[in-house]
This record gives sequence, C-alpha cells and structure tokens, in this order.
Amino acid sequence: MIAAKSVEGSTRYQASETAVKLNGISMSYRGKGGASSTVLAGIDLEISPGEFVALIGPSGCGKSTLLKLIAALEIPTQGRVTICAEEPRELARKHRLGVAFQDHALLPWLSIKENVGLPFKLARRPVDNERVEKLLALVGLAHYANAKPSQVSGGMKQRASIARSLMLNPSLLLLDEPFGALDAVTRKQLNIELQSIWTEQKITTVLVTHGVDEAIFLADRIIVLEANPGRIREVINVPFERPRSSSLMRTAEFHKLTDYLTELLEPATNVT
Amino acid sequence: MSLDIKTTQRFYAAFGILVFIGSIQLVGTFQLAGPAWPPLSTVVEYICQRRVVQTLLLATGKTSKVILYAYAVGVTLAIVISSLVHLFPIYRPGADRFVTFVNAVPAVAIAPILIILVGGQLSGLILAAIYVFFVVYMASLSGLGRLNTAHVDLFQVYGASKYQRFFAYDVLYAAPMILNGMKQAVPAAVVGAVLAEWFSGQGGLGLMMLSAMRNFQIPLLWSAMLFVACFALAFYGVVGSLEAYARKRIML
Repeated sequence: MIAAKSVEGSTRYQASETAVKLNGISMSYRGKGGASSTVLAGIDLEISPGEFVALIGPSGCGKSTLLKLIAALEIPTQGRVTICAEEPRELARKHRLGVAFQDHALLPWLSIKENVGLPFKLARRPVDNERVEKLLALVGLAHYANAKPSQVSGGMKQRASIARSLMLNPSLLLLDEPFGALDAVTRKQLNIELQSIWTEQKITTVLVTHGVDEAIFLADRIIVLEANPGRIREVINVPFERPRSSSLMRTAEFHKLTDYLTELLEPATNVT
Repeated sequence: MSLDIKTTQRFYAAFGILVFIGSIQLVGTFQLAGPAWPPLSTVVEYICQRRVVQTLLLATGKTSKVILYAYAVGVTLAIVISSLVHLFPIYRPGADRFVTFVNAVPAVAIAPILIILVGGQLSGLILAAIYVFFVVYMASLSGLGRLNTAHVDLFQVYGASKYQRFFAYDVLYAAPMILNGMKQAVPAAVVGAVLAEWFSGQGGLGLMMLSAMRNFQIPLLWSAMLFVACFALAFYGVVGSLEAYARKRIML
C-alpha cells in the first residue's frame, strides 16, 4: 500500500485486493549517442478493483509511458507490472484490456458500428450485435452506427472509441487523454457520460489527463507525477461522493482541490 | 463564369494533350526532325489500312500477353515476399540486398543469358517481371512500414496476433501505396516486355519496331510505337483508377 494524502491531510488508502500493481517501475531509453534518459524511476502503485485512478503531471513526466507499461505496449527497464496477478501481455492476449487513446484510432474504412464491434473479431468471437447496439446507445451514437469515422465529429469519434474499449467487458480500462483534443464544452459533456458509464460498469480505470478538473471530476484517486525523472509526487484521494454532477465543478471545495493540484503541477513550487 | 477546380483541371489536361499532339504533327509536317519523324496524320492514315491494323493488333496481342503475365508474376511475387519480410523483419536486410542486386544488373546483361537458358518467350516474361517486381516490392514495403502507430497499439492491446493484424489492418492500410507501386510498374512491364522482344526476336510489337527500324519503314515504326503507348496508357489508367478507388475507400 502507498501513502495517500487528501487536501485536508494525510489518509491511508485501504484496499482488500489489487487490480493493478506496479512494483519498482523504472523506464529508460537509450539515445543515439548511447546516453540513456530515465523517463520513470521507482514507481510503486497499487490500484484496487473498481477504482478510478487519474494520472496527472507536467509534460514529459512519463504519464503516457506509465499507461503504455500497464497496457503491455512497453516493457519496463526495471520492476514489474501485474494486472489481476497476471502479466499485462497475458491479459491483452485474453482480450481483457480496454483502451481509448487521444487518437481515437478508428479504422477509416469501417463504419462506426464495425469499429465498435472490432474487439469481437480480434477475439475471434462472433460479433454480439445486441451489445454493440447497446453500447452505441450508451454513448449516444445509435443514429450514427452506419456512418464512417470521417462523417462524424471529433467528440463522436471519441465516444465510439470509448464504446469499443468497453465492448468485451474488460478487467481494466486504460484512457490516455481521450478527450485531450476536444473543445471544453464537448469535453465536459463526455466527462459526465464517462462517469455514468463507469458508475454502471465499475471497471477498474486508469486515466491519463492534462485536465486537473477532469481528473477531480472522474477519479477516486489522483496520482500526481513529477518530471525528470518521472516519479510519484503525491497521491490524492478525491473526497467527493458519487454520482458527481457538473454543479460539483462550481463548488468551493472543487475549486480548492483544483487550485491545490494546479499549484502542485507548477514548476519550482514548493508545496508543503 | 467561374469553373470549378475539377473542370479547370480537365480543361488543362485536354489542352496539354492537344498541344502535345499538335506539336508532333507540326514537327512532322515541316520535317523539323528529318524524314524519320512523319506527320501524325500520315501515321494514322497508315494504321487505317486493314492489313496494317490486323498485323498491329496481332502483334499487340502477343506483346500484351507477355506484359500481363509478367505483370501478374512480378506483382504477386513482390506482394508475397514483401509481406513475408514485413511479418518476419529478421529477413529484411538479406531480402533487400538480393532485390537491389537483381535490379541493379542491367537487362542487356541478363537478356542474352535468359534467352539461352529459357528461350525467347519466357525470357521476355522473366525480364519484364523483374522490372515489375522491384517497383512493387519497394512500394509494398514502404506502405507496410508506414502504419499508424495508434492503430498498431490498438491491435496489440486488443490481443490481435500479428497475422490477424496483417490481414485486418496492415494490408488494407498499405493498399493505396501498393497500388501506387503497381501503377508505377506498368511502364516498367511494358519496357521489359518490348526490350525482351528485341533481344529474343520473338513476335510482338518489340520485334515489329526493330524490323521496321532496320528496313526504314517509318510509318510502321511509329504505328507500333503508338500501339505500345496506347496499351501502356490504358493499362496505367486501369491500375490508376484502382489506386484512386482504394485511396478514397481507405484514406477517408
């Protein structure tokens, strides 16, 4: 277990089981001249089943790299990642990971419906059209099922990407700035939708985001990373009850936490 | 009145073709390039003779058969080998060197050996296929090497095997580039087939051009050249349309 701190003071994160465990993770890249640069150093983190964790930090702190390590897209230089006591690659092989990237990664020649049902094909299972339609309705794309990605807006593409990530009831959902390229209004709307989907499905989720308010609104716990090399600077338990509505963002407590996190992210600031 | 971009482009294309045809006619009419350059109207008049057009069509049939066979063999081999190299990158350095070596050896050097080894007809096919193979192999490898990282990551996280990804994504994403290579390979196939006919002395437009040149039958020489050019342009147009379709369908 790692120590976690709320705005009001120190608390301790309790969990009976572990969904994701990062043990002594370090990640270095070797440059052209042979010099190595350390992106992440000594990351220890445990995430409980059904928990929603947000990773925030300044640019270059290794948030996305950390997510790639959990998704088995990279192999750590040191340390070990386990998901439900299994290697991430094994979990991917069992089709139990769900992902949504900032780049929606929809295949341009497939319709929205075919894109959303793609995980079934990759898992060599017959496409469950009922589930595809249910998830399309859940993300508000029922009327755009036959449209091509080029025919829908950026927000709709991201909704389709989220629907695709939930298709096979994943054990772990990884979201890498899924709404990063969207305008503020669409982003807020999608945050509310994502929260209601998560509340319904209770999938363990790791979200990488630049948006402090997005992290507070969605997460149970926020992991603040610092850069050069990427380390955990602080872990914050979000004290707000669920379900959270958009009016929460207008409360003094929400602003207090936003200010605190923003201060943490500013360079050369000593927060005590 | 303003014209849309497509109409303007078509107008310029038609204008360019007219200028080109007109220039050929003028150079021939005023004998600017000597007696070996007849007016285009004389060539067309010559072609319109029944006996001539029959001979030309027969020769075009023979040459086009070699071109199409060579094209099919070259394209198939190029796509299969580049796919294998893409799936098993460990073989890439070796395959690349071998392909470059084969392409670097001039046709003049290979053709006589091939004729002795496999005979005239087959040597033409092999020579043209080698030309086609190189162009399509390079285009195919280039297309397969420029996949979208986010798509590749997606397939990996969703547990797709490399073969699943190859058939569901890699080939489709690279298709416009492969078809572009196939389009560029059309002139290569034509050059290869005609060159091989020169060397082998087997019938076809290549031999007809060689014979007309030696006997100074200028209208026949130009007629054969015109038929080769028309066949190559038509073939290029068909593959180009396929490429445009794939680009529209895949790169939406």
